[in-house]
Amino acid sequence: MRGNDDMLISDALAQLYNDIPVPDLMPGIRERIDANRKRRKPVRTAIVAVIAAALLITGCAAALGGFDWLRGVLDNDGFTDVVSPVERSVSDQDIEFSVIAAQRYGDTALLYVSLRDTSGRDRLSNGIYTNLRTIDAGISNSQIVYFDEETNTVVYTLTVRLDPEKNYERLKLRMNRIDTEIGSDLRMKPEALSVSLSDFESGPSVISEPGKILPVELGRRIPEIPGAQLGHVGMIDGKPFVQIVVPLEGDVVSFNPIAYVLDAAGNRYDAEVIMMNVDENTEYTINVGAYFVYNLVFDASKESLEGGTLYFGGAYSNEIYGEWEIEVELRSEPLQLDYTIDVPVDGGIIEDVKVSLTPVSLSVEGIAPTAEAAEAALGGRPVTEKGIYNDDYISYSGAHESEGGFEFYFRIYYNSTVMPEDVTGIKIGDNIIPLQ
Amino acid sequence: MSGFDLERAVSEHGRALLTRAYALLCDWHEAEDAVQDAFASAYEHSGKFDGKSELAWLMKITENKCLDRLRRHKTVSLEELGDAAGSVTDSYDAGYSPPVIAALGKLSAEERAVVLWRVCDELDYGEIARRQHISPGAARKRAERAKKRLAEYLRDYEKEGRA
Repeated sequence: MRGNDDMLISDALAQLYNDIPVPDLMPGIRERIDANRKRRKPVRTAIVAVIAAALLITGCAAALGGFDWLRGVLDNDGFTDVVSPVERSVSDQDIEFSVIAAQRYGDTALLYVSLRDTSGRDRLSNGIYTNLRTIDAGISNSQIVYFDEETNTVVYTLTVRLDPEKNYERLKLRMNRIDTEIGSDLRMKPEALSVSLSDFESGPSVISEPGKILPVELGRRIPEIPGAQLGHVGMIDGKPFVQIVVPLEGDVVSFNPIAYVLDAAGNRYDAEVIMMNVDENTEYTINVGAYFVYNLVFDASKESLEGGTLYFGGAYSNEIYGEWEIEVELRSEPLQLDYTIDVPVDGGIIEDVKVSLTPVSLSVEGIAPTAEAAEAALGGRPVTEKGIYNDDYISYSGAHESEGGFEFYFRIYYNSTVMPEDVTGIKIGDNIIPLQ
Repeated sequence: MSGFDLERAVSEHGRALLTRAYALLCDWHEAEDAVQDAFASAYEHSGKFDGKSELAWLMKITENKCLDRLRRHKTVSLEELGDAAGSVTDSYDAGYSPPVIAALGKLSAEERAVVLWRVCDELDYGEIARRQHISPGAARKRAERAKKRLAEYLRDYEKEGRA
């Protein structure tokens, strides 16, 4: 039965569903489909093939996944002109993780990384997700900029925000999970396990408490499930339970199980499955551990299960777990220009606004006299001889009251390179403020 | 391609997916983008749809797109905004911001997801635990805590609205 909180929340969400103005989504969807098609266009595959052929003949540096290869496939991408080759790779689970290029600009680093399935199973696509992260810095944005079906290679750009107080000569990237397919499940038909269900009382008898984790033990192998071991067979809150422990390795580990016992008369007793991760010492961990544990809890008496047959099956999600870690050297380019400008807004001028330009970003920060003025100053764009540059995304922005007024700040990252020396002004509101 | 009819799917499920994306991201423009990304992705991978529940399949893709966006913007930054977060004017203004979104916006992304999975999808704690890589006990605690806070915020907004 639902509580009052549930009903209140449910009603509010139902009202949201009824009230939202649904826009015409189709144009945006078509744009995306077209863009993805272009990204995968055969000509790029052809370029890869040509480069691969050249490699055979000349042994040149245009190796698949290398910097020259990247420049070849991203022929319209201005960023490749402002990054330095790195070309470091690690491999696990037949997935090669490479940092192809990187560059530091002040407190921003721009990296090109790639993932390639070397197993021939084509597990990657341009719909994958990873938990790629940096150590000691934050990824502001990551986006897939290229996918090659032929070589099953995905290329990302990463924009990393660095702590300006630290001197990052090196940057460490780490990843241990790739979600490879969305919405597709592999099914494992439930099959009988050779697990004896006759001795629940000889195992641990546990009273569960909120947040308390069941004990985990590694026992004999369960031959019907690859790599699995039998943990405890015991009682929890007076209910029989069976624990199955499966090592986390390979690329099919996330599993939505179905478990039940059939007794001699054909009666079926379904299990509630409590799942958790444990580390190599069988200690509970919130992170990806060494083992995945399935605790099958039966809402039935032990007598009704004894002598029965345990069936176990379910659906796998396609996730690849592994350890990929690369430390790269960050070359720094002094391509940052800083300016201090006065910004006219409605009702006055914001003085001493700091503007920083790099080839990949624009940052603006200052103190406005009023909240309205701060609001008006957010969202500037660089201006070059070609006009106002709008092909960007805002990484962060905000304003808050401080001692001297209302501090505001924003940073935008470009989707292509804008060289600082080419920026002649900043457009804020209706004004273009020249940079000198 | 399978028999996936994109325009019909958009017409039938667009509202539900937008609602979910908006509730997860608390940003109308981001939600619209995430849903468009999801439909485009669904169209391209429609051969892999098992034909069972189209809405559930699309919902999963949409949620993944939303979570990806949240991960991307994670460094946008709560640490940076710190205690001043309450007074921050976020430039990702939704433009259309009903009280339930304002209330959801006060929860963390993980809490929002848990509440939606529990209240709307009626998922059990085992499944929520699996999705968030936490124990079922922790999932239960997180859900209960998040629901309680969200309900309190909603009641506060109701009171403000009446006042």
